[in-house]
Amino acid sequence: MGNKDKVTGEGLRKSVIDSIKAIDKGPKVLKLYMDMCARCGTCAEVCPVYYGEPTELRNPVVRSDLIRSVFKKHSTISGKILGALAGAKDFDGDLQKFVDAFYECTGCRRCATFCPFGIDNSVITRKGRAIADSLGYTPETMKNVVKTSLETCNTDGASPEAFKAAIDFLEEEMKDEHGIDIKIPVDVVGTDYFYVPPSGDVLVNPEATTGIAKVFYVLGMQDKWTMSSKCFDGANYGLFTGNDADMKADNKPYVDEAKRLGVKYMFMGECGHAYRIMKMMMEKGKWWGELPFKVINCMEWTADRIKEGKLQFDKSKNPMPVTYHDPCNFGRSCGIVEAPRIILKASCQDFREMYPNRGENWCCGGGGGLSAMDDIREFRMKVSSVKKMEQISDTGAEYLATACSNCKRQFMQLIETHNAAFAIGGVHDMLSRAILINGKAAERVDWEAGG
Amino acid sequence: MTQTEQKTVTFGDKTYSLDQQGFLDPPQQWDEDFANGMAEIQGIYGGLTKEHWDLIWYLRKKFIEEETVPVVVLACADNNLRLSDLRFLFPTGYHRGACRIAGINYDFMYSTNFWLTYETTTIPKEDYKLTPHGFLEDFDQWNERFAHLIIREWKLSQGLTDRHREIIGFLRDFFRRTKNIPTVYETCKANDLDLDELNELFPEGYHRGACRIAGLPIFA
Amino acid sequence: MDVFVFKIVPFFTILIFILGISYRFYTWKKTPQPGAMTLFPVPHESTSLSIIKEVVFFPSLFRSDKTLWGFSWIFHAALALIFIGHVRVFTDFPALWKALSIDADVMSAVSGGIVGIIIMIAAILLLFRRFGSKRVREISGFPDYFALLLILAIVVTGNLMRFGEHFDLQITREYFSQLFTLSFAGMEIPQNPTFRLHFLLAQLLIIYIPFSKMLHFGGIFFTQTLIKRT
Repeated sequence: MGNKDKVTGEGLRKSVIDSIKAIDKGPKVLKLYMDMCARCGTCAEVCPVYYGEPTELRNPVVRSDLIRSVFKKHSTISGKILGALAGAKDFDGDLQKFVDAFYECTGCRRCATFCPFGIDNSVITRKGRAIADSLGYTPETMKNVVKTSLETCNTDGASPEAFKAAIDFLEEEMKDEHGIDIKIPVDVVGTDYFYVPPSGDVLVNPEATTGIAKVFYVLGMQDKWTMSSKCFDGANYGLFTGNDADMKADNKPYVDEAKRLGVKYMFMGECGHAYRIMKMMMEKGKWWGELPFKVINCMEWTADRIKEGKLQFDKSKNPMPVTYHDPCNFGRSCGIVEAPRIILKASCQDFREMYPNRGENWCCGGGGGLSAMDDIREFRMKVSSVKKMEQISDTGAEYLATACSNCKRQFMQLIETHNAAFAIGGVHDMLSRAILINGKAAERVDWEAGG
Repeated sequence: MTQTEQKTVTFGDKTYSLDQQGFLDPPQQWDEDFANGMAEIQGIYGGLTKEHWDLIWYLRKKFIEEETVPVVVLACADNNLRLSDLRFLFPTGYHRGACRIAGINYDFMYSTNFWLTYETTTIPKEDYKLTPHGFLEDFDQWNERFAHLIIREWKLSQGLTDRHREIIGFLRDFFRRTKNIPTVYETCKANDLDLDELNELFPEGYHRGACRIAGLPIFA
Repeated sequence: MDVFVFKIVPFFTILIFILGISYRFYTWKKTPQPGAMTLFPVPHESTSLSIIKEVVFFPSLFRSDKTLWGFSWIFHAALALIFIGHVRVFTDFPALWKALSIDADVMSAVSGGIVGIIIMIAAILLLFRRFGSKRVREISGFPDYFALLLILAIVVTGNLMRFGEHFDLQITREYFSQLFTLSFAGMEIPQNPTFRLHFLLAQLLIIYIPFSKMLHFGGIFFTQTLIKRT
């Protein structure tokens, strides 16, 4: 974790400039983005935040320039000689401006999709947050989440006992629904799959987890998977505070646990950034060397089983119009876009596409960890999410499925604020309601979704 | 919703102040009258039953004695409630329903664990106050959802289009400024609209169609 | 003075350009990149093919801002054609023109003239765009206007040579061939003032490239590789 107390004065100035100068050493993306921007304004055209309310600091180029112009001033020849004429500007000592600006970027990477050069402003945002974090300027909310997560291995701060109690409860729920014992194995060594959901999918909105348990049951693989009573939350807010050390420290117990459990697959749940960290950063970046397991995602895995014809559904259990919101970290950053649609189309009567979608989708407005910050609730409700709400209501859907707890929290508050006419939930939630076990779908009392 | 607006509710002869999210604040104001009154707002019409009270007292005990709020799954597990039972008891959900009635304030819940304030419940249908002719009584009660309900009534395949939004926006803006309902002529002219398109967009015509979906209070 | 400016400076220009660009490419290449930055959906074809597509047709821009795409694609395409056209200033290919049975001078006059006008219009439109739209005005600073105005000035002087009073290409050609073969003895420095201005501005542009946003012509290969490889 970053500094506890806020650094100020000359020490602050020097630290900020030093860490911006350090960009020269990498990573490569960041270095390139410092040198390369034709300043064409395309990013502002496609940015959900700038669309919501186009203030100057919300223009992605202006925001990124907070860092880029300082870099030019101190690390480029032209900036040193020509100064402002080359777009260079020294750090003005106002780090709070960094915090305000970079915590108004949702890191959704939509700009990178449309930028002719593929400049990804979220990388610069993350750098800006990292600088703030190292000097103790990270917003309290985020600090607390990281602290809780590093202390307890989950963002809920739940104990292994609480987790086990929740699992027992979910098993009873499924017994009620299907009249049979469907197990959720915990801490079993020597299985194939280690299921790592976001903790919300166990403790708050547990249907996704019961959905997974039911799939394993139907496939006769009850003894092939396990959860861990210590590591049950893939969420990793080190990604959002920009602190690489925190991100890795948060990640390590999960890799160790997977090794201890001796699994073949780390089976990631419906959490976009967790999967991105495991797959694109940890596995590809070889943080912990060669791994004895592979990182896979539950949605792709379930979709493959559906394609093989191994799962049957009673679609009439989900009669309402359903649409899918691509979480940025699943869609743009990991390319998992077809799998959730396969699951939803198999389990719902009326699946509707939302536009634009997949790699071009609009962020929910709560990305980059902002969803957890209620101090900027007004911004999330009225600025960053404006277009998204229109897109959803255009589909006429009564249920919005999405595979990300941050998106879900954001949407829940949007529904509340705007009195919207839809319900929100996960992808495996829909599967859980419609999957046939011994020819019968779950019997439930009141799960009627929609307005 | 403005930042400074102070929210209150009055049950019987006592007035309670609420926070921005509509939760009791400060929580010391809580009493059983508040629970009964808030329950009605949260869609519990027949009065609070023993099952309601069991969960409410459980939540209050956790809140006051242990200074915590359990996550929804654990609260259900502790009280032997199925998730569906909870939804049946508290239609607006665990945190927005049960915890609110139990007088736990939003900030406390949020500071304990921000995930607590996240739940995927359904929000019950809002009761719009309508005139006998189906017009919205209160101009300010209008929201996009109301427009969607009317569109569904008309079974328009395209749903609520941007063109609809444009014209609804014009009508509402006009009414807000002048307190008058624009004539069909004014509306068509301002929006470059001909009667064919008008009828296509609003199958019930100008007054019953366009003005009604825009929430203009016409007391025919 | 003339000797210095027209016999020595061009070599410095080339040297600075090559060193500057190589240094940039070298630092970009050696900077480490942990983890993958892939942006999905990744193209079906190979990474290099899709990058070439991106460089030639600007599909990302086409999907987001069609007006800008129109202006800038025409601008860059004209720039590329002009670059190719200028090769004839330094060397000619009589055999090629014969094989294609084309009158090279007529073709150059017509196509060069048209492209010269087109790029001028495109540059002016891009300049106006910088003033016209809020989101672009916010991010436009001195370097952005300078780059456009510099190119515009080079284009205008170039067009003046083509459309203005008679300009003798033959003298210029000889000058360049002598310059590049280092035969300084008997070298005749062209006296046409428009040409001199055009030539000096062009050198300024070449020197400016490695130190400015115009680097994007090379950097695009690096940045696009990062987001397109799986």
